Amino acid sequence: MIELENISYTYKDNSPGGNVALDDVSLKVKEGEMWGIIGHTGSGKSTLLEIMSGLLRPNSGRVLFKGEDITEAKSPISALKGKVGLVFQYPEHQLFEESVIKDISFGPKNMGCTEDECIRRAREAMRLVGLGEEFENLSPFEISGGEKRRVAIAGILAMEPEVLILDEPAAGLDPEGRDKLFDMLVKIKGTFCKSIIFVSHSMDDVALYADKVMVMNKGKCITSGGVREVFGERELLLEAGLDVPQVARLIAQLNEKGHSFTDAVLTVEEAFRAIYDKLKG
Amino acid sequence: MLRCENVTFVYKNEEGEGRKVLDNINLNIEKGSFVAILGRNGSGKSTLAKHFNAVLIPDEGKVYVNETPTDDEKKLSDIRKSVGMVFQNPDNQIVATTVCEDVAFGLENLGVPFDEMHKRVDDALRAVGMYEYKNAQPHLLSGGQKQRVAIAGVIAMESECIVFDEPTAMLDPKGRKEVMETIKKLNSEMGITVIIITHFMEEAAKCDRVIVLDKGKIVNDGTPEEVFSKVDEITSRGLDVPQVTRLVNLLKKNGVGIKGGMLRTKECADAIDALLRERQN
Repeated sequence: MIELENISYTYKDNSPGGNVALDDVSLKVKEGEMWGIIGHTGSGKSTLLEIMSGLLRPNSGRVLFKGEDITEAKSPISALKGKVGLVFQYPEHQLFEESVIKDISFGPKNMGCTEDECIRRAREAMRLVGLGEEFENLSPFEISGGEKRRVAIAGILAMEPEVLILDEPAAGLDPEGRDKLFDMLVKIKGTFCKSIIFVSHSMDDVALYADKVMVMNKGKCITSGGVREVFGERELLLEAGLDVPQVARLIAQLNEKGHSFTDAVLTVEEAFRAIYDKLKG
Repeated sequence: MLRCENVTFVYKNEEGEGRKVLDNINLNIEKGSFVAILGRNGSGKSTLAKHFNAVLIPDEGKVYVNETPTDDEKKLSDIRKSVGMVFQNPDNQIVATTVCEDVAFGLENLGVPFDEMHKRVDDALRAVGMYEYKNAQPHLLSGGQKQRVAIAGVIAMESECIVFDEPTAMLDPKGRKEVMETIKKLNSEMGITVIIITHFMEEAAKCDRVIVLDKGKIVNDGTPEEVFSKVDEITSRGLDVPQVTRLVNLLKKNGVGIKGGMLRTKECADAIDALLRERQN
């Protein structure tokens, strides 16, 4: 779907040579994949998302969407309109319309869809994020925080992007809201939206919901691949200021005590299975 | 230090319709304690926190800070000096162009003499481990560092109690750890009373006392071990328990003889190690 080839990007500031945000980063996102991007603050994650969605043009390297080089386009963002949707951090701060349905229709309206088509798409997007009809005419300012975030995500989905990119989609949500949001993303990935890429600071969420992980450190991708492989590289993650889920730490400690668990344990259920089998098996 | 007596608070909209956000809260927080407040989004946590330093005054009942009722307007500046607050977004809390000016901001406003101001700023920066960044520009710091500067600003005011409203929600794992370690130190070494609102259960597990709010009422109050051992109830309140607690609960439910309510990776690893060794013999 989306391919990044040797992307570099430098923010121009007063320092000689500027501020290098991305240094030779490559990534290949295939159809059907859910990618989690992790890295400490300032590691280049957000810049990467902005390049992937066409908001920024890289200084060097290419961005390919289904094989087509969009860095060549006059305006990368128009070339990706309706193909790649970007949901910013705390997207609910950007709601502005007087009703939920109007807010969600804004994107398709801007793309030149007819009014009927706008409404159809907005309703479909609301269905995908789990907002009932009763929300249509409410003001986006009189609903709860979790609902607002759903409205904001629906606003992007109404443009029917084939790739959805989200910057910390669960930040500030309570555990239940967080689980619901990720369950919803998993479901969305089976519709017009074929691939999802999200940035997260929660290793637990990435372990639970992503199938591929990319790790950023100081503007470089230091490792990427299947979620189990990546979380197996505990030392590398710690070096990058990150961590592994608590149960993975537990299993590592048990292995240090001389037990032999596989390193591939990422969730509570997997840890339970592994330990239970050894105790009762 | 802090006492709530039958505190009820209602948010009213323009039409005068009210929503009861706090419903008859009774609470006593001892000087020097380290308390976590948990609850789903909208449960009343932040509203309660705003009562602790008279940002909000209860509609019914009273809040006392060191036995001074918060509705005593003549004592307002004393109350605000005793109880400081640190919020979620570090970027919204930084006002000056260098770290030391930022920490000094509150003191300047109070008219603290120059020499004393310098001493207090230096001491506060040392307490949060940011002294070496004294002359740095805040926007060049990481999220965790910015948050520590915000904390230093409150310490410089010599507050006896600091209320943290999701202080780590926007930070990466390293920043989260930095900030939690700083907070823990303020409590154990300087005797500052700490109240922390969080959605991270591993952080709550580090406190001495956990209070759970749901629909504006206190539904649970005890040590982290006591509160988190009620895994099913906590989950039904939209919350979570630390991963190892959930793991131990699963093992118990399946007939493994292990103590419930465990919170820390190490104690859990020790217990499972003992069980595995027992079985091998």
